Amino acid sequence: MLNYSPKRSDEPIWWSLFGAGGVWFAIVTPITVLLMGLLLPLNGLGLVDLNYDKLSAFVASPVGAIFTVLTIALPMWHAMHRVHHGLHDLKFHVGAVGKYLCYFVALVFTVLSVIWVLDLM
Amino acid sequence: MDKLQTVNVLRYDPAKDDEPYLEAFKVPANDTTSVQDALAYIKDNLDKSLSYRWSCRMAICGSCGVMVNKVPKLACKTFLRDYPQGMTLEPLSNFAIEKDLVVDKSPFLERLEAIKPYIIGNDRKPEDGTNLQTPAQMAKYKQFAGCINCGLCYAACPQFGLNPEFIGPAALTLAHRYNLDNRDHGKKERMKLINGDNGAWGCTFVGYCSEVCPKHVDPAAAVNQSKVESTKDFLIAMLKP
Amino acid sequence: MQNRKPYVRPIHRTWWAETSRFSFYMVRELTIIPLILFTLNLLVGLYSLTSGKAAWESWVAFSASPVVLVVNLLALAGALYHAKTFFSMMPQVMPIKVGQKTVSKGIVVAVQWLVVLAFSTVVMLLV
Repeated sequence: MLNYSPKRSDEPIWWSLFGAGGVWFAIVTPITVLLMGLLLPLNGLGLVDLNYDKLSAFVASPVGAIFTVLTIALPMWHAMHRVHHGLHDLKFHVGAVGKYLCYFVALVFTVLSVIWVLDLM
Repeated sequence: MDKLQTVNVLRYDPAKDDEPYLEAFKVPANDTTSVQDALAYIKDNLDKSLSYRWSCRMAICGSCGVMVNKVPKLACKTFLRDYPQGMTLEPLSNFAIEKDLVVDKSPFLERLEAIKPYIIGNDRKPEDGTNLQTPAQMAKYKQFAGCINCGLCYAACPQFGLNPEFIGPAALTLAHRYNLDNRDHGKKERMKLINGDNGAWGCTFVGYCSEVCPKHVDPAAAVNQSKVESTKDFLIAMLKP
Repeated sequence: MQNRKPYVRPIHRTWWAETSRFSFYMVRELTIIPLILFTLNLLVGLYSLTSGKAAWESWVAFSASPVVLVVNLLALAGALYHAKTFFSMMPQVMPIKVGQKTVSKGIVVAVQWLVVLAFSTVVMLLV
């Protein structure tokens, strides 16, 4: 039997964050990974110069600060939403605790990025 | 010229069997032989106990959905010529098997009814004449009105398989179709079901429903547009005291 | 009705491996695994930035280890695959209308890739 008067889902909150994170993951993350994850450890391959002074100055600037927080936070809200649904897809029924634990991880990333960015400002 | 082609059919007789098993049949086929023709041949010539649903033979009644090599298809619209290596027919996935290729569609019908697929809150009377719509008003929902209730999208939806409470693609699409119709005023009643965890939020946009839909209704679009509607509805409910 | 004995086919945990269509769905969902690892490492990098130049240098050295590079390469591939799937879903979730006509899927997808290209170019010019 179907439940004809179900409780309103709180999914609009998580789905909106998932959507915003999805846009960031698709548009901003590729170049971020290329720069910070590949070129930076490979000394820029002679193409770019990403040194300590330059990066800390960027993160300390208002635009850089917001950009840095969003770069860390948004993809995590996206990712943890997929972890939550992915667990269900793989038939691990973790219930409400599992769900809030997922979003708590994203929240931790968000809060830490804000704290450390403020530290550099 | 007809040549013999292998058609494997998943058999299940509730009176005799504990679980389904595959049975191979050799069916004479030419370029015009549909899966439905093949099933009719088997029933008429090889095994009269075979059970399957069919009616119109022209992709409008929505009765003859089966899995063809694990893909949900209408038997009348699928041809043996496209399966030279043979084919395996199974009853639609995600539904309980009643007998052979016949599944229990009642969960599907219950969902269609639940979302109130009819115009609500329109007090026009017959003497008012036709309720005219502009082409633009009609264009809003027309694509979503093409559903023939065949259930292929439910067989394609892993979320319906994983969560039998999920309202599922066709019913959510029909709800969206009426919500978009300017003659209708029943959106509020339908949003109740759409807003739930088993409404639009039961979907993770696998998107396969839209690929298998024989009428190109695009249920994935309707369901995900309903998520946008549900999010707006959520915001409005939060803002109102 | 006594003869009814509906048979419910079990759904295995590996249902997504049974057809390639569902495997691609699972690949899409799994693009978040290298993303999470990359983002975690980036967060650590941010922390090292706050702890001075020496900490930063050792984070860069850690990021240059082959394992991290492979994860990051997977994260890049994952981001691009995610983008491909995400962009193609966009016209279904939020169809864009110009006048009476819905903008075709191909154009919406192409415009989104152009945004990626433009944004990436601007970033490369700025660094």
